[in-house]
Amino acid sequence: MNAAINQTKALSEALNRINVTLHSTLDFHEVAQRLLSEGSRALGSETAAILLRDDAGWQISDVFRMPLGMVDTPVTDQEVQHAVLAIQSRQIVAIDDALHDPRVNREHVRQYNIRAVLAAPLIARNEIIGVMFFNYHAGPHVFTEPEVHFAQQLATTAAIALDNARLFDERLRVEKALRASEQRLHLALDAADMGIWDWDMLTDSVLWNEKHFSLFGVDPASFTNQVSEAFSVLHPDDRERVQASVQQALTQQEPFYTEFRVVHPDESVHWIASKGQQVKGVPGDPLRMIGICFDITERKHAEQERERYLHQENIAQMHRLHIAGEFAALLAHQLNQPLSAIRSFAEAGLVRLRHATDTPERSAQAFNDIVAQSERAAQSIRDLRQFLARQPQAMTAADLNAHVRSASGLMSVLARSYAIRVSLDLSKSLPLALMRPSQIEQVVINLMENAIDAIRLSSAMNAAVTDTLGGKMKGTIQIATLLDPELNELVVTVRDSGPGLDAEAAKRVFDPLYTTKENGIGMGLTISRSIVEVHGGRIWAKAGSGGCFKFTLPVVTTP
Amino acid sequence: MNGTVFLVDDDEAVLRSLGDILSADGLAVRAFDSAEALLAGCNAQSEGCIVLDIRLPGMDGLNAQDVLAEQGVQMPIIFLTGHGDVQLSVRAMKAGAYDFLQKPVAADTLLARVYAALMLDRRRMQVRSEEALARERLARLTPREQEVLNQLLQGASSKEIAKQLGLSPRTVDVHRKNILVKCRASSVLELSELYRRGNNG
Repeated sequence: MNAAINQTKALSEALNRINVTLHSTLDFHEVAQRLLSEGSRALGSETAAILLRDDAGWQISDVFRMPLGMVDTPVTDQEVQHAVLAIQSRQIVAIDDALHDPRVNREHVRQYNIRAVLAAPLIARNEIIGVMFFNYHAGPHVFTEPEVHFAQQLATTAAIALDNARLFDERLRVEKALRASEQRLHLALDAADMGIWDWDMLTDSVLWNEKHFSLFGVDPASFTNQVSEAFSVLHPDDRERVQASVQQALTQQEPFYTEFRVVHPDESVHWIASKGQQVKGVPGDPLRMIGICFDITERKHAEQERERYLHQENIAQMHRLHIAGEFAALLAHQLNQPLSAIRSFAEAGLVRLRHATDTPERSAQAFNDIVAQSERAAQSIRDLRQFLARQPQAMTAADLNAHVRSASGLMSVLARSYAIRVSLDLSKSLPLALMRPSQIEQVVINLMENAIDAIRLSSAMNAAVTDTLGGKMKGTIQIATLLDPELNELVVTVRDSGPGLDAEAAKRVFDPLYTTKENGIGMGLTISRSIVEVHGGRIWAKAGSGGCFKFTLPVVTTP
Repeated sequence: MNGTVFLVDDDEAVLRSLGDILSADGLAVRAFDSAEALLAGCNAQSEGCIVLDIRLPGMDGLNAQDVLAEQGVQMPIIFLTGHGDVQLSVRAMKAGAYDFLQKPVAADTLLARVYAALMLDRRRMQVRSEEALARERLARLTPREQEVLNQLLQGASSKEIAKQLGLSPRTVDVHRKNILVKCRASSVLELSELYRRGNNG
């Protein structure tokens, strides 16, 4: 009886000792090692082990005085049927004589030379963790009441300690993973030049990362963290819209995406895209909104450029179709004249044959006329085809004066042959204009052609005017360029000393088929109008004595 | 066929080729390359017809039609039109054009219309000369003879005229005979026809 009391006392002391040492660590395996070694010593077992139980089955987790290679070895229910029993009964299973006890697997005890064993279930928070074994290898061991009681208490303590250690481990692992994940996120956001914002809606304050400050052009030192200050950086035209989309995201309980402009202290404007989502505290009550933002200035400019280009292409395409329609009418007219003449020359010959008044000379003349007229028709088609086939040149910012000079140089030669003097009055240092240079040259050439024809027509009636240089000249053409600073456009003026146009003619002169000329049918001016309008300019004729045509081109504005 | 074809087209080849057809068929042709040139080249006394392009630089065909009418040029006008000139053609016809032809014109069509127009103009000239002749003859009568003529045209007998004018019936008969001789008429019926022509227009 004394021995039993002494044993109980010794075991209780051992239990206290174990409890104290367990507090010094939260590492699972360290806890397990202390439990096994101290438990073994108190119970007098030779070896001990902890097997953990999960959905997959048993696994040896920790061993005491057993080969370390056993750790992590999976074990089946059949092998440790006494452990299964311990778990199912939630009781200590004490096997005094392993070789003759039907509750153990014979193979198993033989394999490990186990003669007696005590299996204590590890149950914490009503959850089965595993089983702790204390093995005896020298011979059978009769377990006493205090020993079983001790094992019972040790198992309870062990279960709680191991559970804590396991939870702590888990938390450490999660925290480590979180830290790594957060680090990766920051690295990714930094690499992507993303700003992060965190808006506390209760205090209406907002937290930004470093990148966010630079995106918004705000000095971190002076930032008050108030949302109103953040909004004050937005372009005034965008503020309401952004506020509305935030509001909508809040009421619709959906993520929000918006694009807006911010104005930096140096007045530069940057396009920013912002994506966010509310973080819910109490369900339905928005407390925080968190999001990212990034610079989309380049993309926006590209978009705008593309839109402008498409718009221009649309207009150009519409004009091409419009011109095509006008050309169809022009072509009909241009072909009808020579066809008409060809038929009449031929029929005149037939009439002469009928009257027997034809001569070989007369016939030859008729055939020559017919050949000349069919050549004229072919030339019309060639001219038209050449015009239509012309590839649209790219729009470039170009010096208007240079192209006026090059066009007028070409036409001056022609003008001189009709005793017409061409003078230039080009305004110095004009800003660049967006143009397809060859088309603008074409317009200048058309207007000059028009001026030359006007002078030639009238010069027959008028006396020759004396040129300032003293030579006898039939007329003058003057080309001027200047900048209209109010409308921010360049104006080209082509004047001639011809008869000029009355108000009605000035209005109609750009219509297709309208002409005051003998040979032309007003094609040049119609084409000129189309070209100038595609360039976003205007062209018009001023009524009065002396011809006066003007056209404008918008000045290039830097975006 | 009497009369000249006044041909107007600003296209040199069209003008010359149409002129060739007309002159090959023996017609007298005068060619003009503008409405202004035509106006300078014809007057109220001109005989023939006008073939006028409806689209012309400077004064166009329709304006020329108006000016010709103002200047008393009554020659029939045949307009030459291109494609899509339907509205212009309608306006020309309303303003009294004789006809219009669409380019390209078949020679037979051109000649047929031109001959018809020339015929019309010749009849017009004939009527005009007959009227002039009647006026000239009626102008030879003395005031007394004109009084007698008026009574005769109203169907009065010699007795009634004598009584009306306070003359003897014999004197009235002498006047009547003189009137017939001066007007180269053989009957009062012929006289009334002459009178109608002489007082027309």
